[in-house]
Amino acid sequence: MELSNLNLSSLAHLCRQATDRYFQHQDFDDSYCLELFRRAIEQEDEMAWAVVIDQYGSLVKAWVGRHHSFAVADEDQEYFVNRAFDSFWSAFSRNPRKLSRFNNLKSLLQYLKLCTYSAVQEYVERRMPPRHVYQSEFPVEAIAERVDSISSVDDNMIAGIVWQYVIAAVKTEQERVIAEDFLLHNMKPQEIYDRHTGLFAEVAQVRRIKGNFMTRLRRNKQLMTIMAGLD
Amino acid sequence: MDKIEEKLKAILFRSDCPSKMDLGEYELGLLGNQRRDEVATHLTACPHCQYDLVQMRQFMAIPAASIELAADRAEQKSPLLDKIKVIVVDLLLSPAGMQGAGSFQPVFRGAESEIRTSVVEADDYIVALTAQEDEATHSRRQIIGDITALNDDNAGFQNWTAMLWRSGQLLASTPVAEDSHFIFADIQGEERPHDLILSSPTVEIHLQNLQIA
Repeated sequence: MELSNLNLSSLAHLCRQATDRYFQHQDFDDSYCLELFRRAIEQEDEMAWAVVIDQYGSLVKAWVGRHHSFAVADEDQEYFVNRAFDSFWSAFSRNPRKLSRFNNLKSLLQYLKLCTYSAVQEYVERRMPPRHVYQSEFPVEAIAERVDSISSVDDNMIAGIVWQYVIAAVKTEQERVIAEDFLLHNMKPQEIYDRHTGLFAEVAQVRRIKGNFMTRLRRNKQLMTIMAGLD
Repeated sequence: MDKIEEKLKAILFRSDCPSKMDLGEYELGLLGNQRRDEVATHLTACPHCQYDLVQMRQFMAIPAASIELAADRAEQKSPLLDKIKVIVVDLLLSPAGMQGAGSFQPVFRGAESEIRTSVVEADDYIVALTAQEDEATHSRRQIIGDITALNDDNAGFQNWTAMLWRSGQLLASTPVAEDSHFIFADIQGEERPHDLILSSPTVEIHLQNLQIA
């Protein structure tokens, strides 16, 4: 029988068996699960999608529980399970042909795992300051205020506009480097100096150029008007 | 730092970074050539994304076969996972959870003849691990472990199994003896982190990122 003729409940059963065997490191046939995902995504078969969620929901939930940032997230596992499946669905619905690049169950589950990682990590990062680097000088309160009031789409748009003003004010390569490393990556003058061998004579020069550049930005009335509007 | 600087940073910080999905697709080789090159270039300059990538790799490499199998087999109405208590200790992220002999020592590393012992607290359990040169092979390691329950209700280890994983591959599996010790012999020291899973029908203890070098 052609796989496409198999009814959904049989397909679900065979895919579950195959998945079990996959996790037991036994030989298995990828085709049932690939067909299930194909129906769910390419054919937009809602029942097939429900089977996918039913079949792999517990797995995603387990992954969420093992994400290093989950413990500090103020949402339950189900919330991130839903976000992970949403992310998975969105990735393929934007580009249905993408599914053809996945030719086995392992790669599909890897992608689902990536969606899980991304769901938890992006959520936590939007609500918490970056703790792994440069923590002491990061404007935590300013970020926290913005997170409460602005969506990610707005964030990206505003950042894009503001960055255009910043980059337009750049006059030298040294200023460009400082603008990027200081404003985008929150690096200290010493770190900027260390990362760009030969570009600066000394750390003090980084501080001086940074100070001059920030003064120039403060004198940009249009930029300051935009910034004031974000209060 | 003045208010304008603070505000600019709050708006611009990491605004040029690829999304986590882009970074993940880069890692999985799913990006088109142009985007792949853009992400690669960005990675050379951005310490945050470099760090993200390391964390993502660790997550993607979690050898969770047992938990995944349990999850996948779970019935909708009575998930097996709910019946298994899973305790995860990431030795890389939670060094404070480890107490070495005299000092925190989350790695087995050193001169070949040296014996290193570490003690890991994992919720209601304490796991002691000792790594030493394998007498038979010299260049390889023998790992001796012992598990202790802090709660008398959890005592008894006759149904426990110890498994050593690396990069998603099961390297060795051995039953925990009734006196609560277990031994892995002939283990190749490697820079890549290992994961130790101690598994019983009701509890799984995952010690992640164990360094055996």
